[in-house]
Amino acid sequence: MYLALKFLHVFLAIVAVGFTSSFGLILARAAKGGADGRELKFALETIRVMGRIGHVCFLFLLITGIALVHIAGYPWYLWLKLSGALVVVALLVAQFLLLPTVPRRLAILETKGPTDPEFIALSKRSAALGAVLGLMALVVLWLMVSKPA
Amino acid sequence: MLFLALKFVHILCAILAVGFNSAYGLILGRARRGGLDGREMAFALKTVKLMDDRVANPCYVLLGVTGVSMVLLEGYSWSYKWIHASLALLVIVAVLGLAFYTPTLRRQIEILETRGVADPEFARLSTRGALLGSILGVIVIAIVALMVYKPS
Repeated sequence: MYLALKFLHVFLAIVAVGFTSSFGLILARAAKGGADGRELKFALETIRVMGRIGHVCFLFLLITGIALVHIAGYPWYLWLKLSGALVVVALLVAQFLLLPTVPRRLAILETKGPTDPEFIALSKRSAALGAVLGLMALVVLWLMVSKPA
Repeated sequence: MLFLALKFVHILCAILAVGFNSAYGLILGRARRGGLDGREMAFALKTVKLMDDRVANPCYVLLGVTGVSMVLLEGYSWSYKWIHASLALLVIVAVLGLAFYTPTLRRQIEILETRGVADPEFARLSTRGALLGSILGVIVIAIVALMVYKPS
């Protein structure tokens, strides 16, 4: 049971972090697409789907993580509390700050185009938030590997 | 400390390589519903190729290097099933990826640019790419399972 849950936990981490890590590259390529923004529209719609999958995976990552601690009977070490807290913060940032920018950007793209100042500002904000979330994921991974007491 | 650093890089590479690979099907599947002129498909194929060439494949190389380094550093026996089986599967993934998947992707881009998205060879290559992707996915999941279950 523990190993099956651990396998699921690792698999969820792969999909969640792997998917979200690719957003920067996909959007950077799309930004160099046609002036009508068709590539950008496709990229934003694709990362909206990937973002939803990644978000659900992060949620289940937290649930399976807590279940693993419970089954193994670990005490709540500092690394467990810290990593759990970081995942919760990341989930909240993604849910309330990052994901809502995607439909907003799509709406602006369709009405005003990719050169609209609000579209550019939202893209920059999303890129900055994505970098912060990426850094948090690296910290969580380091905590999982090094397990500081 | 060196072992922990290697393990960190090893897991990070696994997450990036396998996570990126898992996204290909979704990106290409969505592109199939794009315009008849194939612009979305061209963008998707070139993006997947870039993700594969610049991130996933270098990560697989690093996965092998850090994995072997950890075995040597920790003094694990090569006779463990999970070590030699996962290494063998990683070699198979590399061969399938470099000899079949990457050339398929390259040929798809060439055909799309010269003959368009409706070309029969493009459709045949897309099916082949999807099949190869599925096979690679199953092998990679088997490697992750070996790493977690560690059968001796």
